[in-house]
Amino acid sequence: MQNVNAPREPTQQVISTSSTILNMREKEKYIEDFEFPYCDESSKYEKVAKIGQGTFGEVFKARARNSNKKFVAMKKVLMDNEKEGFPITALREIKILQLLKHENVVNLIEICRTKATLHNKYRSTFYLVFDFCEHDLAGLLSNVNVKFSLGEIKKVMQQLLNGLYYIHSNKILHRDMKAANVLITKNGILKLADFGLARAFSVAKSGQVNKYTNRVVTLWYRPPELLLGDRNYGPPVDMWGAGCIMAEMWTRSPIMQGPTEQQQLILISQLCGSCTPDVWPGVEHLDLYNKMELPKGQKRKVKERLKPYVKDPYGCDLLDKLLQLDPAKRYDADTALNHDFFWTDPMPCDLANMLAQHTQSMFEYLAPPRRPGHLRHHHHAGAQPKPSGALQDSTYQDRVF
Amino acid sequence: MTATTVQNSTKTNTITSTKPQKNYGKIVLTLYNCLLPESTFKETPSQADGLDIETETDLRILGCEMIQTAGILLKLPQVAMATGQIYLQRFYYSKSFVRYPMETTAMGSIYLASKVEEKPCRIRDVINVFHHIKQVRAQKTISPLIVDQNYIELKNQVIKAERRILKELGFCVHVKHPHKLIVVYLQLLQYEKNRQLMQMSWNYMNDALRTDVFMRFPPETIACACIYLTARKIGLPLPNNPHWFSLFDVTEDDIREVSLRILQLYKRPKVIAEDLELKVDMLRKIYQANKHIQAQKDRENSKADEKRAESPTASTSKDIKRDTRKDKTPKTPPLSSKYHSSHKSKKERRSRSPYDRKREYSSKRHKSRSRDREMDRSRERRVDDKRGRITMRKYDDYERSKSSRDLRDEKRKH
Repeated sequence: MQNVNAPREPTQQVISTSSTILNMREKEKYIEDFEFPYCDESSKYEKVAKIGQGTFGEVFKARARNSNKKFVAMKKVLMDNEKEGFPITALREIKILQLLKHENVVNLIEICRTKATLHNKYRSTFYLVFDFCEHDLAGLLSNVNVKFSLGEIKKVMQQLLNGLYYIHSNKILHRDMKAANVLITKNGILKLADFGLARAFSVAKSGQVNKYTNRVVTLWYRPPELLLGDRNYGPPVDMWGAGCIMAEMWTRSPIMQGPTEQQQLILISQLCGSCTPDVWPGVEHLDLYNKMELPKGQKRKVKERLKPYVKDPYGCDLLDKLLQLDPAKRYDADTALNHDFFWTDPMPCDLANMLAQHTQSMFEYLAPPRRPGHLRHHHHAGAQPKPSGALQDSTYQDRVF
Repeated sequence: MTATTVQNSTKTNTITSTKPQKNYGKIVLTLYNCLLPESTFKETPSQADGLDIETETDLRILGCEMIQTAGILLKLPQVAMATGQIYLQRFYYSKSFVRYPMETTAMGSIYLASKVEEKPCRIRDVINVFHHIKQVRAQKTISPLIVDQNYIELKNQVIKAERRILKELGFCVHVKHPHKLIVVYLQLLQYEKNRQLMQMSWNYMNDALRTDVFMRFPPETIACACIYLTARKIGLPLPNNPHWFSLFDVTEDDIREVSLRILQLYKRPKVIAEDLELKVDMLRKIYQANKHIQAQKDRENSKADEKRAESPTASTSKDIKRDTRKDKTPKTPPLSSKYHSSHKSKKERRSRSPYDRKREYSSKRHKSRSRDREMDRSRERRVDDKRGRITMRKYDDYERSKSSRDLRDEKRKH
């Protein structure tokens, strides 16, 4: 009889008056009372507002019930593909976030679950619980009242590159760099977020070529090598995104907003020049090089076109280095951090003072549409499907830990 | 609750990371918390349900073997099998074999591990492979698995098992394996070219997954122990002044402890799956019967409660429960009640899972053949086990003396 009262079983027992359905009730109660000591219940947080939405699921702002001041962000794990169990993408995100602990990477506090009850057919929902960040960069940039000084822009970029340096040195690719995934706390600390597409990478050895899916990164921030079908890519894909975000700090809207892959390539060529084997040795070997229509004879006008916005010459130069067509020539995070841009006056300065003027949270999701005529570029906005399913057909051979 | 809380506190204590850890809930997410305290091994959840330690150990070994074989058939990398085996082991230090069938958990483990190790396979394949392994084991003619309602149910069971493992491990799915360490250490010792040494060390390590050393010792110690065992086996002297393993912060005592635990594995009699299934089935029936009786009592209690609630002097329901608990028989109720209630509980179980039903079916068949003979056999086996254990101990002593002798010889050599 001890068995029933064994250590970890619920001590609360069934109290039911109806005897006909008791067996079922017993079972239900048993399941409902089940405890998982390492996986807390989500009811310890109280949802306050929805702050994001996409194919990855929903994100909520929530308050810890045991302390009114502690806010968290809860990201729901979408379990639409029940047939294959717990989604591998969510597993990756969890595993990666458990590994990455850095000031400029969003902090995963824990994973919570809802109770298994009759209402959810005894399938609990999981939430990833993060430290709450007040703003995201897309939200801040879409608000005309938020003005960044040059020093502040430098600080943002410095933190962004610091975060990238950290994740790349841990052999992780973010694969979804964009302004909406760059969070900023009210104290001005930048955090890279949304590792839903991230994965570990290995440096390809001779004879062994990586085969990652190339259907990653939001289209507007997608580098040319991915658009041309490269499956053996690496950290430079994130650096291209960093370049796009950097330009956006001045232009205030994404610099290349192509509606299709083809259009995006054309926009890139118009800015960075034609993709030719001269400027980019090896480009001719990429899968889609002959299948996509590539504008010929385009000149590189990165500095020329961005100068009206980015008045700082060092800034222009760094942008030019980040928006290199050839991934091999693109600056890595370390080199970028050593660029004169960060080491000349005005030096990077803290964001806290500027942000103190704004008391309201700014998220892209909550911001009014800033470009009439354009689709708001949420994940679900059609133009850039996040191919979580497509991820699974690439072959995985590498591992980091 | 004791086991869990202790486990939890050590989890926080064993953090070796230098970064400050934020601790909001009671869960600390870190990659360094995988060792369990001694108390966990003494009283496992399965033992609390009346399973003897030998059967539990056999079940663990069998489960790990199945994962290993399944992984090979599924063409998974070894790292996935290793991870899966560790999930299974960890899971059953916090849940009981009696309540959660080993095979479903094994399937969930390998399936989850395949995803974590970036080589995802399909549940369907996992189920098929396990079906195949069981047929081979029972030396039946190999026939494909029929896709019917049972299959769908089983698939759901695997999905649920996967989720249960995740919850139970608090999503700490990362496992630090010593494979890599063995390579690094052998490089440091400049023996990386010695294929035999490397391969045999790895073999010891993969076998060690079936023991509890991964729950007891950090990977560094296990890596050293595997090299130590191999060096001894092939008679290769390694530097001992100072001892080579002191370089990796590992003590000889720990190495010996790990080595002994690994060597014990080879002395165990072959696991007979059917016997284990029988034992677990029996206990499961007892457990379910108990649950049923408990529910009945609760029903009575709640009725009594309602009555008492009307009178102002009524004691609380908790008091009643405490009272009833006292006169419960510990662990095993009398045989008569066990058998009496077993067929009752069968009915309710039938609806639960076809997987259970299948097990039941096989055990029923056994029983109809001759329940007494079964009992005799298991009794015999128990005696065998005892004998086996004694010889094992003898062997251990022998090992110990031999190893100390070897050590002396080695010292003399140097």
